[in-house]
Amino acid sequence: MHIAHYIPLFPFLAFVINIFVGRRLKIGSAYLAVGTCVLSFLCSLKVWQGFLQGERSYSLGTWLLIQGKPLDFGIIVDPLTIMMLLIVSFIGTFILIYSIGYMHDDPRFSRYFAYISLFMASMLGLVLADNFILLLIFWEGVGLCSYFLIAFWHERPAAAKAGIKAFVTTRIGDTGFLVGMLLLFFTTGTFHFSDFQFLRGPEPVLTLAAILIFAGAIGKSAQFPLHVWLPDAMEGPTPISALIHAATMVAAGVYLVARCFPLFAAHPAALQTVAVIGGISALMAATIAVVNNDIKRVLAYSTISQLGLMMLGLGVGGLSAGTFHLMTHAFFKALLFLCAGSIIHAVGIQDIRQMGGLFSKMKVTSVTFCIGALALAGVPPFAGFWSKDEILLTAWNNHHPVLFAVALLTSLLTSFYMARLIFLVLFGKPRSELHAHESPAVMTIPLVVLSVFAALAGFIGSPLKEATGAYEGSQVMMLASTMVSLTGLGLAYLIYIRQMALPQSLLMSCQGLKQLLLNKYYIDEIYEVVLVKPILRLCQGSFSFDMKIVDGLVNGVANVTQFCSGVLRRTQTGLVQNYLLVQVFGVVLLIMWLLKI
Amino acid sequence: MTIQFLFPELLLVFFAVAVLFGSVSNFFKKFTPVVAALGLLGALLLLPAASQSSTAVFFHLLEADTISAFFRTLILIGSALIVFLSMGEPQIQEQDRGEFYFFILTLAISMMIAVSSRNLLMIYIALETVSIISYILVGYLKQDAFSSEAGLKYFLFGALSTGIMLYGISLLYGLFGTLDLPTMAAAVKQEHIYFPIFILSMVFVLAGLAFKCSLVPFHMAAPDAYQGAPTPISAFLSIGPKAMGFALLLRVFLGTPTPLIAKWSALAQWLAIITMTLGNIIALKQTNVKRLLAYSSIAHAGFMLMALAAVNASGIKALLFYLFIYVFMNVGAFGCVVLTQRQEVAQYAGLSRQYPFAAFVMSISLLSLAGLPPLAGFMAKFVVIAAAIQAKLYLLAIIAVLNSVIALFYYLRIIKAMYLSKTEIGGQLNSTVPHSRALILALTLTLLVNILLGLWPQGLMPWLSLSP
Amino acid sequence: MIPILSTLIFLPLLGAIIIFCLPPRLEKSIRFLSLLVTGVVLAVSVCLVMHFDPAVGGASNSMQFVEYHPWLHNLHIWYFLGVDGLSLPLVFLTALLGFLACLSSYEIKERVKEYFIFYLLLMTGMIGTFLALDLVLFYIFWEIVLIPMYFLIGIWGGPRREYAAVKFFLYTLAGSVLMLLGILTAYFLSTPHTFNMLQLGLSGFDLRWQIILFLAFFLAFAVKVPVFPFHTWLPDAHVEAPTPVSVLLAGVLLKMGGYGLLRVCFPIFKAAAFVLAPVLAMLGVVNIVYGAWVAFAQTDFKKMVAYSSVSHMGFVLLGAASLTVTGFNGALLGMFNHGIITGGMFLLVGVLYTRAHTRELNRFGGLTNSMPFYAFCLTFLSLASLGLPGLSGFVGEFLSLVGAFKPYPWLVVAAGIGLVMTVGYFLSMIGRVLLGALNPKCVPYVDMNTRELVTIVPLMAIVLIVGFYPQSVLNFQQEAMQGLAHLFKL
Repeated sequence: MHIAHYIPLFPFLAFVINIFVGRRLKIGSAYLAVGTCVLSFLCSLKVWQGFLQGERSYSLGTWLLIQGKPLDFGIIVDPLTIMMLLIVSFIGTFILIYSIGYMHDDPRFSRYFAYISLFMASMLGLVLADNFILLLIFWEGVGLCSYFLIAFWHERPAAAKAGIKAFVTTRIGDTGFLVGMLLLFFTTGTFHFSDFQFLRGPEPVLTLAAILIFAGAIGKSAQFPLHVWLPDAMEGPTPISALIHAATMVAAGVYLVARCFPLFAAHPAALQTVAVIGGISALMAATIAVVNNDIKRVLAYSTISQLGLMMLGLGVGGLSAGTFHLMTHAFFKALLFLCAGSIIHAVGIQDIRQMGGLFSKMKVTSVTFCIGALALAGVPPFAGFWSKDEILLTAWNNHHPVLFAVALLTSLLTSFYMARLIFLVLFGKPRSELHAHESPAVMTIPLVVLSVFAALAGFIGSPLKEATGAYEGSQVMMLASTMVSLTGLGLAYLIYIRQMALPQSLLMSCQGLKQLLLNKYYIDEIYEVVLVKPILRLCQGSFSFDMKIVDGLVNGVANVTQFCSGVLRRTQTGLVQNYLLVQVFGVVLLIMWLLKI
Repeated sequence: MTIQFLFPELLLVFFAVAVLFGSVSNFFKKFTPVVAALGLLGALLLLPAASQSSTAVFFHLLEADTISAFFRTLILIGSALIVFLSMGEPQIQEQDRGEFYFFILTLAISMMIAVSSRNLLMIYIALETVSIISYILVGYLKQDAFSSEAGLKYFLFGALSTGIMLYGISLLYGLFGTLDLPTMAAAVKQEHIYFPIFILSMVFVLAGLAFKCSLVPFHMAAPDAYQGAPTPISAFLSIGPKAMGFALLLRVFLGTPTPLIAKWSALAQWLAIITMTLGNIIALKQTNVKRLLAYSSIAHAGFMLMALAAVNASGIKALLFYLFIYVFMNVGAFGCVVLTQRQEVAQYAGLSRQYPFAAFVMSISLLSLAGLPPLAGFMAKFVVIAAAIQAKLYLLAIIAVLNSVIALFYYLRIIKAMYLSKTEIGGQLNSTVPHSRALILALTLTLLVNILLGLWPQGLMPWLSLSP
Repeated sequence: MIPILSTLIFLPLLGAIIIFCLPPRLEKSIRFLSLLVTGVVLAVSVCLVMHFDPAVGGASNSMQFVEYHPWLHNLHIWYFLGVDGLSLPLVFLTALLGFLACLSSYEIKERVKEYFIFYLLLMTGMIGTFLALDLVLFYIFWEIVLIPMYFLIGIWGGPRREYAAVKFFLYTLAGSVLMLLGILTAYFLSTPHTFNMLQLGLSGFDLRWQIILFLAFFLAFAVKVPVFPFHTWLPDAHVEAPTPVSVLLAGVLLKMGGYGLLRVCFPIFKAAAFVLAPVLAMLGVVNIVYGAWVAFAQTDFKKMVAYSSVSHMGFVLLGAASLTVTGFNGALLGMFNHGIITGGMFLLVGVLYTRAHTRELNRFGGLTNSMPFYAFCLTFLSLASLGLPGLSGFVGEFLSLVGAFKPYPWLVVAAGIGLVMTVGYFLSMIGRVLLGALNPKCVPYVDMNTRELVTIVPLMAIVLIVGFYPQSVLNFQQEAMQGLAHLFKL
């Protein structure tokens, strides 16, 4: 076995141990999870080293025969995988450490760490998979764990519901993914990513296959129109939100598109679809985030928005830009969620309208939160700035003015709502009775570490730059994007700190829009009316149909026979005259029949 | 010497007379059933020797072919089983039982004569004897109003049937100047006869035989008779005269030449369809087990007719096999009615826990009647349907198998009551009857036949085959 | 040389006969004896698997351990048994579920003697069906199954057991009697006349007759599978049957239909299969989608699982209708997996039923806290059932879809609806039973005991093994499926 094989195996081992004997391990279950995660990280580093020495892929052997051909499972190692491995294991480690503090008095402490280990294992496996089938196995594993973790506090009905919603919604995308995969297989005869360079087949079919595969990414990365599960997923414990949003679940979708990039790149229509869906999601989610009042939901919508931006980046042809943003986003979004978790842990509420002035009470959290927010807002020199800038640049250079405008508008909105969040939560006066206190070190240390990366990761540059040859940075673009970010910050400052009258009244004047945004464009409601209710009615209807018509027919046949029996037995009157009459008639009829009269 | 052909019958006559005389004395009366059984057994032993003979015997009145040999055996076995059944029936035990066994033996003799007859007059005489004894036996329970009524109905109905038949016979005599069946067959082949009259007379003959086989629409008296008669007699009526009827149908109709055969086949096909369907459907709602079995036996007559409709060698073999199995299935079912003395389906509730043996035999018999593998009834149905398919009677075959599904439903009703029902109806098994051990023996025998012949039919029926 | 196949078939029968002779009060011995017999059957079947040579194959002669003796020579009926890659997984499945369900039969407290007699008879019928290679022998075993099943549902079932038992019996019989006609017609149409399944495949019937005969056989199999619209006996039978019987019903009896399709319909009536395959595929998808819809609407646990069976067997039909080696592999593996998974599901429903005496999903809630092992098993099997990659359910369905994709891409897309719905109803079931606040009524329920765990853990292990390494089963069936698919290569 190669060292890369151990990467997902360690967390999986932790899962197995924790699920069966975790209860007895108590706090040890957490150490186990953290330890295996660190081991995975170390292995990832080793794989990186191996990669630099020229190792590329490792086979695991044949899984099964399809159409008489063996389907080999194996591991792919390239910059994309290594980046993902490092991010996942690194951020995962800190989220796990943080969780020790966050979950310390939860009755299902060990269970939590079991699930999260499985989550890590699935995600690590996913990025290592060298073909669609193996990827799908881990892909579904990720979805499953998200279900378990979102519904972790299942005593709350909303949590249980959110878990189901997440799994079912992503499954819709996965079905498209599966079909696309099959389409690709039957057109080109391969499930393997490494064969993408040599794909040959009818253009429209491959375009369709690519779009269907993208459907899987839409589901996992919570892009419009399958984004509805993500905000609800906030019902899970906050570190889980951090994990889902930063490094694992939602990143999987972007990773998939990046992984299949050669396929998309060869088919402009597919690429266009990715960009447009990304753009819609980015803008839509950003606008919703502007008015939302739940600290976690604002971050959730910002995730959808940022993922949309990544998709947009990929869609306009910027493989390196998209993945770069995926990386920087992982750091600052994990940081933001963990900070939010720390705040919620401290104050016990999530509504930002009731917070305020927390800066003085929670210094570490607040500073790191601000760093994260600035990174997300795209203020230089924080990480988000660099990657976002690259996306904007790619969009512009590849002649997508509309998408460029969308991306620009999104960054404006992003900086605005992040500033709003910061101002409402950390500054100003407390708007309700809050007994806030700083979180324990086990929680704050990960914050500090992550904040360092959120601040500085941008300087690393896109890990795929060499491979793909991205555009050189342009001063004009940097200036423009900085201006946009600062404008957003400034606006928020004016409205929420200075409480200026003009923008306030401006806001008041568009109440209709605000309602629309507060209700998330009514998309959940529309789905409820257009999809969920009719389907439930259909199910009920099918059941009635089954009972009344299908089974009714069966019973009907039986009843008709019984009825005939009831009628025919009347012929047996018991009167000999009748019997004799029947007999004579019988004879006459027989004769008539035989003589054909 | 052709007289040796009649040795079994003569032996039976001897025993019958012995039984009759024995019944005079109270001391000997106890032994009459045993004597009757011994007589039947003896006759059975004599049969193989008696069958080694030329074809036409006894002034060309009787035929000594495989068909007669088979049916004589069958009748002897059936009668013996009925004697055993009667030994367990308290109603008969209470009455003057000597003459009862005398009637059974004479019935057996006349049926044996009938199945070997090749002359219409002989057939008629034998048939009439059978009828008269049947009327007596049906109405045997003098105190029982139902029994007497059933006897009377059976008599009136039977009288009309045989009357019609006699008319047919006389017409045939007018046409051919002979009553010898082979001669008539040859005549049909050679000469120009007036066809409509021939058909007319044949239908009249058919009516008489159809009554014995209880084919629709000549079945009307059967349910009433079966229900009213003492149970062993119901059993006897369902096997003896029916077997005889089919033997004669074989003789009368298959002797005729090809153009007519097709016609008979079509006729038999439709009669079979009507008979099995009507019998089964009416049986669905019956609550009296004897009546239910009566309708079931009507339905089975339809199946047997199906084998006849196939008019091929497999069909004839199938019919014989079916009849043989049918005797055991039906005796098994009726025997359980005798054993439990329960006539209503509802009374069978919980029988499996009270009398597992009775319930077991009943279930096996009923499932065999329903034609479920691996019981003998399945093999019987299998060969019959095979014959029909071989003759390309697909419609008939389809209707037949669907009928077997309907039939299963009412057989299941009894099984359901015995096994599935949680309630229990009180009641004594009539183990008090002195000779009930014979009844148990008969039931065990039917059980074995029903199971073993299903597993290995050709062990006992080496001639059974699907001929190409 | 011991005739291993006959041993498999008649060992349970022997057990039944011995029990028949024992007095009913020896309940313990009867239980032990049946467990012993089913255990030995399982051991023999494992021996069979070990000695089975997966490499033997080819289009014509892939039967192993053949027993070919004249039985009813005049009727040309042979005692002809054999095993190949098609029957081997199903025989093993039967033996395994037979043993585990027998273990689970310890809950049966009344009329123990009768119960085990019928139970063992059922085993004989089921194993015989999978091993018989003479059509009449096949039919006899096929029908033998009905009788004990009728009693098992009818005596030890729930409140509407009589209705369910009769419905089961009549419905399946109505389907199979036409098969009898088909068997006889095929016999008379073939030259030379034969009931031998393998020979019949070689004698070409003309297309019209092929279609008629295919349909006659298919009807019997369709009722068993069950194919929409012949499925309504299934929910009734399942709901009323006692747990171990449900296990066998779902685990083995439904497979008889799929097995018949692959063993009889397809190889013997090839041309008809070509013509009718699209219809079968369509029916398969209807099964998948419709079954899922109806399952979604259920509030009774068992009924939900029953309809989920309808849905899952749709994949089997779809895979088989693809007429490709991948589809056939998927269909057979799907049957095997469905037997394991759904068998386990019914065991779990039974576990709950013995505690709560109800199967109403809404009457439970929050069991994950009070019954952690149970929650784990139920979640595990539900996930396997909804086709989570990595567990066995996925592999079969996936192969079926892959096989069917080329001939029927749109049907595969439509089947996707079923995939999504399946997730929906299984998760909502888990939500209602395991999640949420602990229902006060469920407080006294204790977790699974050792016996219950012993029945379920082997199944879960197989689910995991097949999910991780499907080739473990596929290796055995590969050659047979290849041979089958070879018939349909143009």
